[in-house]
Amino acid sequence: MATRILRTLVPMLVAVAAGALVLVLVVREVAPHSWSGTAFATATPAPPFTGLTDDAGNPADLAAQEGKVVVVYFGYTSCPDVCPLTLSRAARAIDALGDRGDDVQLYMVSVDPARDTLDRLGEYLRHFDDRFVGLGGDVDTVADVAASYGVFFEVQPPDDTGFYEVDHTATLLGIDRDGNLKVIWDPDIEADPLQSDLEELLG
Amino acid sequence: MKRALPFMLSASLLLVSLVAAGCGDDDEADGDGGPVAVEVWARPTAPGAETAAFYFELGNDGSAPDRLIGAESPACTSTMLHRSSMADGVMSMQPATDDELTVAPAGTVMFEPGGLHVMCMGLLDPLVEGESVPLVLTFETAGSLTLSADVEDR
Repeated sequence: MATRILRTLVPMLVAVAAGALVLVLVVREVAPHSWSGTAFATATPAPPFTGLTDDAGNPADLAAQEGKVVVVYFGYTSCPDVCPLTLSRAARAIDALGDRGDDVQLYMVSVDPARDTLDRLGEYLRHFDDRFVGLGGDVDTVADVAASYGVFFEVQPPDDTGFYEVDHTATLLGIDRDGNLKVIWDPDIEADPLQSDLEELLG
Repeated sequence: MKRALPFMLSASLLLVSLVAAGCGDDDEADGDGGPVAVEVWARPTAPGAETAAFYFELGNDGSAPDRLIGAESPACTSTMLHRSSMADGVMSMQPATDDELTVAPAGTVMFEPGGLHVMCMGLLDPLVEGESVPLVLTFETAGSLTLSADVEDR
């Protein structure tokens, strides 16, 4: 009696286990990446950096980066709290990609043209990662590019010492290798989930 | 020998309780009944940066609430008690409110990235990873608390 049950039970269990294994493998293969940022449902070409200059003094050219994953951030070097947090985590995420990190280009567009010279932008960004690049331009040019990315910024009134802050959209914008705006990350995204999303963008 | 055993037992019990009492004193060494701050740190800054931020966890070993009213550091020309806040992805900063800066008895107030922080303006020298910077917090009742902020990338 016991042997007969075993004879039926064992093949059944084996079949169930094999089925489960196949299912796991299939799901892993076809399951879409679970984005930590907000992913765009349709391909949206990333707007160009018209009129901006990189921190080496050359015209910024987003199209020339096609083939790389590009991360765009709008911030400023006198930002004490959130910009360093976001940039530090982005640097950690990109560093964790190892050599593949060379295929990710992060740009910070300064929303504070009055204080952020190109030299200062370069120094600031290289402090986080020597591959990060700053982009500058006059306030109208920056405002146009920012608007094309749906980014808002507003210089605040100065305090007694003349110091002022700049309110700004502080999300990170991810562009895929084909130049499409693909995902938006909150400013407080942790390094690990950002790394995972960047890996998905790298493909 | 038989009589020595109870003696040794009680002697070691006494020792254990002395050690335990000693530890207890250590725990309270920082708090003579007022605000305390732990995990005091600041992120390293880029060359030429004009600002920095200090973070810490405030506690209160006293029996009455106390309020942080100011901060000073030799690294900064001036400071502000600030809060960052985000609405629809837009980051802005406001002066912290009296409520936010009040630490209740046995309560905690977190100063952390993206939230409350001591904003350091007119940074005199870059904050270098591995170094530490003095930070003095002033409370309405307890007066000043002198701390040392570790400069590290967290």
